[in-house]
Amino acid sequence: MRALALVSLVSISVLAQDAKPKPVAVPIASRLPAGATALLEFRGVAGKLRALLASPLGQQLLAHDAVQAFRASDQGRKLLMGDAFVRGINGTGIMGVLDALASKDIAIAVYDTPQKALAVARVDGVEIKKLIAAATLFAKGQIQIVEPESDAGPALYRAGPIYYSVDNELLVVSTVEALARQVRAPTGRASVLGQANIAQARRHAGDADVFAYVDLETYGKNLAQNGKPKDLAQALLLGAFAYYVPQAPWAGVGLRIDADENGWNLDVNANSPAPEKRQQPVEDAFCGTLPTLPFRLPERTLGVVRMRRSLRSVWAHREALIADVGIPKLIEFESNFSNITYMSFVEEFLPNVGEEFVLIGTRRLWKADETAPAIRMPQGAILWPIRNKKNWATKVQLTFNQFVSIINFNQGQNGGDPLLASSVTHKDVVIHTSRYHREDADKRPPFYMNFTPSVAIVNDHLVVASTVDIVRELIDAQNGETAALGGVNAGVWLEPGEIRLALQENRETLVAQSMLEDGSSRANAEQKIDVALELARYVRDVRVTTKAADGKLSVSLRLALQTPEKRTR
Amino acid sequence: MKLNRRSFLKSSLAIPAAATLPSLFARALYAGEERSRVLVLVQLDGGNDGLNTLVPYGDDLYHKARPSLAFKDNAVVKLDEYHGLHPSLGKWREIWDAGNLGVIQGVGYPNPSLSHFTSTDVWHTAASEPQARWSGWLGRALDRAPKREIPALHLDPGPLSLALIGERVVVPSVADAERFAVRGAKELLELAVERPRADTEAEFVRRSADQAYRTATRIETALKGGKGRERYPQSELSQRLWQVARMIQSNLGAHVYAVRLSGFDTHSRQGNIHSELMRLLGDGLAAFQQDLNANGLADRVMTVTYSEFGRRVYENRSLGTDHGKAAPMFVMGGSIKGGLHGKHPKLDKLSDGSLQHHTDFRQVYATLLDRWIGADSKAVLGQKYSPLAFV
Amino acid sequence: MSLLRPYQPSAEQPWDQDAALHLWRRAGFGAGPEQVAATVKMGPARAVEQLIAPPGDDPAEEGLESIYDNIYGSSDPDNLRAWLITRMTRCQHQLREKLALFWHSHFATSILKVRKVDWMARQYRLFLDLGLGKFDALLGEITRDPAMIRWLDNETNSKGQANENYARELFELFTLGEGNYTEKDIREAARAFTGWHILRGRYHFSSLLHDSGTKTVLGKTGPLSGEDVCRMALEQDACGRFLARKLLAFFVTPKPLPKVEQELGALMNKNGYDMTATLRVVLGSSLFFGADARRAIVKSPLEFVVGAARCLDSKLNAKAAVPALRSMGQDLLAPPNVAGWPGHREWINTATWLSRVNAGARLLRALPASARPEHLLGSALPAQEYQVLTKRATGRAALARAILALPEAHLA
Repeated sequence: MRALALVSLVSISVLAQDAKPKPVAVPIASRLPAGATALLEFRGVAGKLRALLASPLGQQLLAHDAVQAFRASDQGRKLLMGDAFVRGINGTGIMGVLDALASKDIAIAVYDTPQKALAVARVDGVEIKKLIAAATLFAKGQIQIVEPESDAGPALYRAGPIYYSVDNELLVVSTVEALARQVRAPTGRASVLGQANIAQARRHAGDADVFAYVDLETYGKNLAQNGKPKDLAQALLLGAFAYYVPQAPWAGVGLRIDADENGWNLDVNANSPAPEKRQQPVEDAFCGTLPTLPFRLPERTLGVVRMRRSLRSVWAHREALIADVGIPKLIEFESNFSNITYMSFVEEFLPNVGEEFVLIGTRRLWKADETAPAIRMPQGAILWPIRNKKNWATKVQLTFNQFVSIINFNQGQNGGDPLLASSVTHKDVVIHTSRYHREDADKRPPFYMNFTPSVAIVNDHLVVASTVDIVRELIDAQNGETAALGGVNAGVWLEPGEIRLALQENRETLVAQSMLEDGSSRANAEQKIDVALELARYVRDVRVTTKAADGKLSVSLRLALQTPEKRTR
Repeated sequence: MKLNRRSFLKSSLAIPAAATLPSLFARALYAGEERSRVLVLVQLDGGNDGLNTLVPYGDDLYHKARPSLAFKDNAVVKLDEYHGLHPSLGKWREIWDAGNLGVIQGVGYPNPSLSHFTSTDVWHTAASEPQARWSGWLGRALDRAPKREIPALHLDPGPLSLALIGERVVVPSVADAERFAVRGAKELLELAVERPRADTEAEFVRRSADQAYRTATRIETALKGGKGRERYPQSELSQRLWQVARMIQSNLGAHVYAVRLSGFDTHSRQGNIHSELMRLLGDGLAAFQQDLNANGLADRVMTVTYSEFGRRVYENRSLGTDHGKAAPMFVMGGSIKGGLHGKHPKLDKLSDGSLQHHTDFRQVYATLLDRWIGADSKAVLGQKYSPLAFV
Repeated sequence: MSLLRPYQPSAEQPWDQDAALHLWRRAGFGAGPEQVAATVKMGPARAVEQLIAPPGDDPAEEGLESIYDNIYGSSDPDNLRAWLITRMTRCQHQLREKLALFWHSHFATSILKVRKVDWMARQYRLFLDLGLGKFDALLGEITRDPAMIRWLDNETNSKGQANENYARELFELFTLGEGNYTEKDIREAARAFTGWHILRGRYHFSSLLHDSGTKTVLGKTGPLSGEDVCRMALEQDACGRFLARKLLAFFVTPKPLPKVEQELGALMNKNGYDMTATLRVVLGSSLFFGADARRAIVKSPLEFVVGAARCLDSKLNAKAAVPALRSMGQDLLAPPNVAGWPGHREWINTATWLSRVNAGARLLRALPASARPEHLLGSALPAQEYQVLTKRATGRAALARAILALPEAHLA
């Protein structure tokens, strides 16, 4: 929010100028000498931001209450004062500085350790020199000339631990004198762009607006030391990444700003580990693609997670895939599972389930005659393809009864409300369901009234759900289809509009939590939550997808913004 | 665990000050500053299958009772013609040969409960009557000891073991000993408690704080650099045992360290599960013992395993075993009398399909209290139990 | 001369900032410099009056009350804990919060056994709502409180099958103290509470299971009811003495003062255990402001954490405070046993001290620019230490942490 406000403070001056993205022939990073272990490039980002701010969406964001409130706050006022101060020096204020610095290209490289860093920026030399002159005046004595201007290059200065020089179009800043000299007066040395890994990573990232490269052989040691995932949930969630990233030679990140669509695309790639380091168990368990889902997404869907993960392979190769500390937990799970389901997990359960998990959450509608608990949970379900459907019916019923008994045993011991089991049929599908029976005169239903645990077999899928309503909705949706995901092995979709409504329903809870966590007044907490809910209206779409195949890994995050409709609340 | 500790206050007031306690304590465990004896307790949570831990492989009845789960003669780690250890306990062979491993056979108690919770409480409190189950046997022993900054340490993410709850003693429970560290600005904090105070309460707090910093430094120093950590397996149990070894080596002064390994409730398909657990236990304790040997600590450390009950002799139809009764306990250390103590319970004289005990676990406790810990077992356990020969 | 006589400022015991801070620490948790200055200005009598009944509305409390339903309906006990901690940190009527904490430790009921957030919330409400009133009303409600009934097994107390647990604790820990009743009193009193059960989450009197026969309790015989037993316990001189001792230990000094206990006990017997009237005497007494009472109590973790937030005018993340307080040895809603937290010196050992210095300072959210860490200790801050610490600490946050690590910061 602070960055947003900063932008807004100086938006007028920005908009006055026209965005003039100049095609850059030679990337500025070519000035950086080879041997870097990390590289960060900004390629004309300021232009894209300007375009974004100039759009109706940007304008609306800048006029947003939250931004205005920040301008009026202590921090905001400090920033305004700072801006006025800088304006006194350069006439254009902080944004002028940023503009002079960031409107073009910046490249930062790190050599060996973060203490050895070098940055180059294509700048408006006149502006920057003005600033440096002003700064020198203020920091009298703190800034020394290491080498005066000469034919060999511009003057080299030192301020504390930093060395810098600037000529008409290039600003060089470094923590190491030698590096600063090299760039200031290039000698035709090899550049970072000549590093094979970096070249490859840049190719992957294409025309990204921001590009980052990290040498994992230098910085991935911690990842490798942390070792294999410690439990099943971690292993399933991280998939192939947990195993390959520590062995991949490098990772690259590209951020592309799609100004027309207000889309922000972040792609992270990790290169293949050497073939001999790839593991068959990992590929078997965590790689592959997602097929078509024989469901249409029901109404009020908040989000869907789809993953291709072979639990069977995980079990077959658990020593290779999960850290030693996690093994006893798997064993315990296996033991509990067979006690509850009367099924051998390995021999009877695993062979009969598919490899695609679907987790779905939808917003729950409360009926008029239902008293909703203070905290309203969304409803969720896990869908799991099953084989040999015939054999499942009895086992599912049996397991569900066991589950209800266990809950009731506990509830009974504590004098809690019992869970009543029953079966209902919806469109010829039998749903085993349950609900908490409540006789306490208390009008405030407890949290667990959110749940009517249910299970059913729908269209060759085992559905385990937190409410019977979502099972019904999924049954209704079973004649539709949700598209396949080409080449992707896990995907997360979020529906920001529905999520916002779900949060809105729980506004009271969010306010309460905020009061307890911030120690703030109700009014402050309300303001904070309302601003967050308001800002959520600007998000149109959030998607995360991962690909893992042949040791190549990539994660893509897409965030799309929108101009919200007029407030309806 | 249902505790009515109303008598807590009452009894704590009734206990005389530590200074006037029986001189017995001055003898062994509590004697000679911190270089005293240490007891390491390993709880095998869930009811360990004793019959497949110490295997009577020479007994036909064993093989008959467990057509699928029994180990063939050549699989076990043979101790003699009749007894063998679980195949995953291979690393204990060396400890056995050195005479540093003892097995107390047929341990249990009369009218045993087959509930995990009740039976665990019985083992921890050493009390037969439910209403007396509110303080632990070691807690009561530690109550009678001169005060130590950290009298004992429970290294486990769960709640403090009831065994270590006393009437007065406070035993810290942490998942990781590294939690005992001062985060940042230690010098400044130490400075804040440097000058003695004239005011009694302020001086009390100051001394406690000063002591706490010193203890923290000791633990920090002990664990720093992870010395020898790589010689332990990666499991949580092993990593905790490594910390225990370092703290003992640094003469932290704790009399007892308690750790736990869970997952022993093997009702079905126990083969792989139990093997895995045995490997975790076997490799972990072997590394620990080796470490103690290498650092000259073995003579003053004794490790004891226990579980709330054993399991049935007959395997069930899910290829697992159900809750049983008697089981062996294992003791390890440089000062113990190794070998088998007591006879293997008879496989043809079962009670509800379970082995019958011939040794009460309180005899083991009494032996530990009187001969290792140096506490008066009668005072701690409420009556005299005949001692065993493992110490 | 009675130590309970009203405090008169004198040269030895002046009414100054230290005295005002002492009052805030004990009758509440603490107060920032401005509030302390205002207290000094109003003089001791009015200061005590304001603590007993602060004038005007309290928007902070109204805000917290507005989310009570939400807290009550949550199954997470940490929400209720955080709500109570936030009350202590923000509500204007500090004495009410402090006294509720006293009652919570007095009627020490643990959620570990009760297992129900809503029941615990209802019980704590009794402490908040009735704490400053007459003790008989509070005792009457507590005896019917589902959380208490479950905690002390009165659900299984039935005619012919008496469970003595509640009767025993009623006498031993709630009203009389050991030695002031006989085992026979307990057995007979237990019969009076037979049939005091729970149904559908509420108190339920089951007349079929109640033993309405003749009983002899504390020297009186008749078809005594549970209400009769409670009333008779309160009529005992011992009850006044017992409560007086606990109040003095909590508010004034942990040292036993038999004479004062006797005197205060008699006063309570006479005023019908009116807590407001009693506290007015205690907090306004020369004993309370005497040198022996100053910084004579080791702060509980709650007093330490909430007190620091109060004195530094800092906000507190109460959700984060819950586990921190637990590691310091005070798990709200889960006292260690039915006798409550032993308190005083028992709070401090290696593990809890390290938690105090590690987690304590971290809990205070962004120290406001106006915060003066040195205010926390008033003149108890040794000048020498202050100088050394100021010189060595880098920044105000570090100084605050160092000051919080001084022994004096842990004394109320």
